[in-house]
Amino acid sequence: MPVQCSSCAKNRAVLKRPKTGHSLCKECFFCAFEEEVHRTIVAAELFKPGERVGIAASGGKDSTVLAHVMKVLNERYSYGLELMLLSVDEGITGYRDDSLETVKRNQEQYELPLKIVSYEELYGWTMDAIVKQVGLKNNCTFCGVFRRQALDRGAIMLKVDKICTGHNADDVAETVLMNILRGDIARLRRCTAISTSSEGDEVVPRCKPLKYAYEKEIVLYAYFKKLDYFSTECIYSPNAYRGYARTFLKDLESIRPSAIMDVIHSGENLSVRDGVKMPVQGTCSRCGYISSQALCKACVLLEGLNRGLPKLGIGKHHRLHGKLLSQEPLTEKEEKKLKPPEF
Amino acid sequence: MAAPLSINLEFGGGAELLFDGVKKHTVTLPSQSEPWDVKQLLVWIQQNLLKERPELFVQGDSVRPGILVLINDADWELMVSIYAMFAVTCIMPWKRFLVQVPTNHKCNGIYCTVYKRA
Ligand SMILES: [Zn+2]
Ligand SMILES: [Zn+2]
Ligand SMILES: [Zn+2]
Repeated sequence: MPVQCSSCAKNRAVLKRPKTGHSLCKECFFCAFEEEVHRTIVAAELFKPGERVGIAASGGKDSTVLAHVMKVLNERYSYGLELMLLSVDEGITGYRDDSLETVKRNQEQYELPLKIVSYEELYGWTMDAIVKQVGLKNNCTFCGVFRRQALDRGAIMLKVDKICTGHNADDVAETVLMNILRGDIARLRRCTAISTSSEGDEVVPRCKPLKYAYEKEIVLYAYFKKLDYFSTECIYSPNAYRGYARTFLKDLESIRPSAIMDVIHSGENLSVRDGVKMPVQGTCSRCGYISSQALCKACVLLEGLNRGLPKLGIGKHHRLHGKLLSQEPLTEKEEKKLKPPEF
Repeated sequence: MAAPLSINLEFGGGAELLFDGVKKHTVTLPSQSEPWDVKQLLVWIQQNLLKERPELFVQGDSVRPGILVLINDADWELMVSIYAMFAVTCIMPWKRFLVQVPTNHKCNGIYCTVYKRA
């Protein structure tokens, strides 16, 4: 027997909401989902009228739903935001083709301007070119560091006031768990924050309008709205630790659907005892990105690439930052250690 | 005696990778004395369609937690019993964990993943 919608009592229900247990029809679900995101945005005062907002767009389900909902809400509630899609192209042959195609279709479907910033523009180097110079063994440092900063640098380049990302409740809960397991107090505080303000003026503030939206609802919203998304895309690389955290959470959720929200709330409500040392955050004196050293990791890596000393950013070479900043040459001994491996 | 049941099965969001990359299947379930239910269907899928790594699709006698199942385009979790099942869709929202990364690989970037996949 089909179940009836518990809200309008007219139509056939199509899903059971994990958060509330309500059975809703398509229309009532769309409405409930969008209204919740709207309430999240209003309650946390995520945006101000007139702001230029970059929606981090990967072509995946989360960012596609985010772009769609932001567009709908911006019009419905007159947020007065100038929205644009912001994508990063790492310059890896063949990799982004399908997902960037999806983002390009999203641009037309939602009538939002799209900016694709490439590593080439941001750093002067594509990932393929980097690997050519450093070899496949050492490129990990580069792909991690460059990727973390790419959105920020892209946003600065496009002069957006804010970036919003598609992180959903499941993502946040996973991250809370991982940070608890690792005892990472500083990250634990940051990961539950719905928005991060700019630190050191130049880093673009970020927010997560889908922070309280369950992955299940995001997937079903995209499915029932027939949104065009690319299912192999992901914002995280496969990471075994996160994989375990996710499996654990999903198991919990299957017994008790509120588990995800519970973990987020615990993360938000943990208070750090006075006297617990928090890392001091400075900014990179070259690019302004958050950094505990004089130069951020990306700038050191770039300096290494540009000087033909790719190992500069791999391992610890803090002593050399002064020289790098003042464009001084390195001694022969210092250089010898940092030369690329012989092929 | 329930007559043979013809249904459409669809796998998406990455789940299709466990079925030779084929998204849509039309299958006929043999006749049996009781009406078919999803638990039995899962066993049948596992024995007849699933090509690899069953642990990514089933757990115990259900689907792996997190995989969304739609029956006749409605959330499986709504159904108490299934009378007329004609289309089943399984969506796996996290294809990312299908890519295997060697354990000694500590990268948290993407280049290596892409490189591995190629
Ligand atoms: Zn309704
Ligand atoms: Zn890597
Ligand atoms: Zn820097």
